[in-house]
Amino acid sequence: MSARSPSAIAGAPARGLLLLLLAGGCTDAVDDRPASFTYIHATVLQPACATSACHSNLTATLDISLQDRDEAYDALVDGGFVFEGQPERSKLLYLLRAIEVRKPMPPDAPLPDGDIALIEQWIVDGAEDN
Amino acid sequence: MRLVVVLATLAALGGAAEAYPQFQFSTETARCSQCHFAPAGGGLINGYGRFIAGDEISRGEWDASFLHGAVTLPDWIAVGADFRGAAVFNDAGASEGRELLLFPMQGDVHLRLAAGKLSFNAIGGLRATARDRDVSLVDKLVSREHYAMWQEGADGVYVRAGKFFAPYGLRNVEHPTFVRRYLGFNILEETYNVSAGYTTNAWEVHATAFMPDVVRETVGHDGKGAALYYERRVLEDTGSFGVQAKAGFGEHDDRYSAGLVGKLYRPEPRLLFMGEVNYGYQNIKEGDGFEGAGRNQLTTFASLTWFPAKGFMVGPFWERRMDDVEVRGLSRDGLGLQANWFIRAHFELVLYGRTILIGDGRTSSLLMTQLHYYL
Repeated sequence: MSARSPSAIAGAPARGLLLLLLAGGCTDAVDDRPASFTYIHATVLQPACATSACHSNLTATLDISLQDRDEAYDALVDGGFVFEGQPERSKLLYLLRAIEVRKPMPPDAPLPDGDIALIEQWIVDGAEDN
Repeated sequence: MRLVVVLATLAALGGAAEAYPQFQFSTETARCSQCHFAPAGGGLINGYGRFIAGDEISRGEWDASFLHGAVTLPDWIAVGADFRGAAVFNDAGASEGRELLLFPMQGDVHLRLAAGKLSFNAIGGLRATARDRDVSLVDKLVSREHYAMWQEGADGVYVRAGKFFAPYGLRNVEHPTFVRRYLGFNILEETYNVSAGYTTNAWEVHATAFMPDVVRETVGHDGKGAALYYERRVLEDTGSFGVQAKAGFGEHDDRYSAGLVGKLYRPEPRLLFMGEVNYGYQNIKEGDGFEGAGRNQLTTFASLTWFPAKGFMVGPFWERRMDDVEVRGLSRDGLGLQANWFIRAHFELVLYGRTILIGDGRTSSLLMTQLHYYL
């Protein structure tokens, strides 16, 4: 996945609104979202995982908090849920895909495959703190 | 089916009635603050609200007053409480099948102390823990709301400061709805605010400056920002039209949202339509090794509620969430049905079912029943 250019970012709100108005949001656009931890934390981990009942600082289920970006990175990489460059050893992906685990994550509703693929790409690229 | 039995106690702490947006217009009330002390509705209900709860909403002729009328409080204090027990069947695609959860969903106490035009309002209690059982009683204690308020009167200008949800959107009771879940109004995501507004029977406006909860722990977005909500009643107080906007500026991302809200009630055949649509933009800020990015989002909700007889409301709902409108497969569509039986004043049974269709064809389903008692 390639990162979006700054000029693309600048025009994104207008382009997105136009898409919404013209096509009701339907799109066949390729997923070119950046496989960056900062992006993944803000768009996937914090909204989906750091809820009051789960991995927020308030609850920190199983002593895992994904609320803060830096702490989330440490929890996943230092906590053994992610192995840099080795998706087959990264437990996080098994949890997200509900494979060989007792309880999938998130337990209330799975993530879209595209988000899981983005996380996998980040792992494949070395799981950098980027 | 994997059974996870946690707790099943239904000790009655008492309750203050929940704030169903469906009651606006269907109970011949033009605005939420006619029944609630809060200027945008929600929380503790006032004397008129208790009358409506007992006389219009619930079946039977029970007294909806505090403690069933056994105690009459002085005007300067209002107390209530809510308790909900829940049974949840959840199927999120686990290899071991569906899970069943039984747990106390809510145990809140409401308090209002008033002196003339000033009041102090608070909600506190025990937060629900559906799955994680290893939480101490002290850690479960939360205060969802606490604020001081000055109000000109039953309507007119008000100013309040403290912790509460900024007035925005339909203000659904059910926190899993997408317009709450993804727009900063999920459980315990209340912010610290300074808010002012003006309410009349014909229209209302609320402006709020907010910051995250830094007293205890921030849950949700860490942004500081502002929200604005304007609503106008139309069609001889059988409908409303609202516009809203919100912007939050966080350490790693900024979130913007703007939307429309609408309601329409038809006395015959006793049908209420509610809808909300929000356009959002999230700007993820550049950092070490990351040059920044943005995404456009859409969050919607629509429901049709039928009031077939006194004490009942039932109806389907649909909702959509597009995390990034430019990327295929990131949408969620929720289809569901909700039924409420207001058995008698102070008692309610809720049935809530929803299936989420996740962009690429996966599904997640939830069926929940609640027994609700309010004091």
